[in-house]
Amino acid sequence: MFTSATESAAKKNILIAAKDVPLLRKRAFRGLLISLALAAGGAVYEHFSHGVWSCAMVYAFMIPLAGVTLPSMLLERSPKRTMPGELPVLLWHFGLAVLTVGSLFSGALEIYGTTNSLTRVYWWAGGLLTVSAALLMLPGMLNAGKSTEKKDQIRRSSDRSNL
Amino acid sequence: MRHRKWIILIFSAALLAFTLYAALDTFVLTRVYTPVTVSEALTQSTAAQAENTDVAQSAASDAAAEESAETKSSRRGKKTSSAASAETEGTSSQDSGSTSLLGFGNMSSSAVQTAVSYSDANISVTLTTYRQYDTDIYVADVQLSSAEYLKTAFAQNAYGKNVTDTTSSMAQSNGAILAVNGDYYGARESGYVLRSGVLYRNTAKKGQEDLVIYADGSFEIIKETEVSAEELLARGAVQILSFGPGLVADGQIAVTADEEVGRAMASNPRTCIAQVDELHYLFIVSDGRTDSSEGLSLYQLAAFAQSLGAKTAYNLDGGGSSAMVFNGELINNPTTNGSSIKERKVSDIVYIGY
Repeated sequence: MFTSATESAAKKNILIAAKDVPLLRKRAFRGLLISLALAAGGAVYEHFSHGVWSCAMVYAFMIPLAGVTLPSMLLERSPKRTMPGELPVLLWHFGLAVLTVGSLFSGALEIYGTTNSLTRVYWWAGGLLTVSAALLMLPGMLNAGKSTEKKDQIRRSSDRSNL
Repeated sequence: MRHRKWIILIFSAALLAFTLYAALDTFVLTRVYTPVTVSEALTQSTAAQAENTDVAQSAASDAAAEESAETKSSRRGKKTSSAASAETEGTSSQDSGSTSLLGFGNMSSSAVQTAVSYSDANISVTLTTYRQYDTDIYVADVQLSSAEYLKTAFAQNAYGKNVTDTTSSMAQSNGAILAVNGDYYGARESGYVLRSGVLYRNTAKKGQEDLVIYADGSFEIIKETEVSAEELLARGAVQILSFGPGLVADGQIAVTADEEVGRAMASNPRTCIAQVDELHYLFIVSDGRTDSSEGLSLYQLAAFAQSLGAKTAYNLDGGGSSAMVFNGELINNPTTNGSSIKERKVSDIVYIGY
């Protein structure tokens, strides 16, 4: 039941999609550009902060780098013929966007020397979105792998019988 | 996926709207809070202290209100004159230029006052400017006859978030003879706030060192995780300032050369309050972030306070918040960005007055 549902979703490219190398390259490049912009922005902000240091501000660039660029590059080079579909990718990117904005906002507050409990909302919302995305990605990917193996086995056995 | 662009647009708008609200909540939206309700037993133990302080404070406020109009007209336009004259000799008597300051605050009628000193039967303040570490450091040496003259005040006489005013404005409205910025409690959501015997916030912050001022005027530096605000109140605490860290404890420097408050690793404008002896205090404010003054590290500030004989010294809010007002004159050069000299609005002050 689950497999058939996954397969039907896969057909619509919602949970699983066929591997699209140019799209993965594009995502990796975009993630890199955003990371560079964040690194430059963080460095400029720190430069004018009179020595007040904020990890959240300085290392905000790591979020799109580790969350978009690296996974996209790894997927591109992996032998798998599928990749996460639109829905989990969208949720994943939303989560990373929330975490990145939260990191920048927290950094700005740290540098100013103030606090606000609303910053927790970013971590909770970002975490929830990324975890949801990961949960949608993993079973889809695993099931897709299994079903592909099964299909390969069936294809091989039918080829033998034909022989 | 259908409507993908719309989904992204709505998500982006929601994220932006929330961030704008969070920024407004942090810096703009004003909220006034009520004090913490302390158990009756604890309240009784401090009622007498609080009553004394409140009576004195309301008297000062009333007098300040009456005198504020004439004070405004008598305030000199240039703030640097007193600092410049103080640089050479802190105790020298001044000429007629300083007599225009007479009448500021709720001072005693027998007060003898110059641009760098104030003295009456209960309060003696001497202002001296030092030049150390490529920085101008302003020191007010205060001797009191009673601890009741060491006070604190909130901006707009209200406890809350984003309730702020400049140190000089608060000094004026409270009739302060000498005032420095406080701990800017409103910038944080935790850390004890006890003022004039009333407990306003009792949420402890991990690793936070506070300055406790007791009814007898003695100073103690405590860690919030080790003792509750209610306990301190029961012990006779009248004021708790929550910024830190403690700079000097038992006459020894309590910070290391590479230790800094929060994440401030550079030399900055600083504000410090210290106790030398019984009812003998130092209010220290340094310039910084300018071409003429580099600013101090915490260790430098601690060493400087120790060199002046401080037994206990505590770091208050610094940077753009650092401000010292004496006889209605802004003494230091407060700056946030180093280019414009302007007082920052803060939550509270520590002051000397009636």
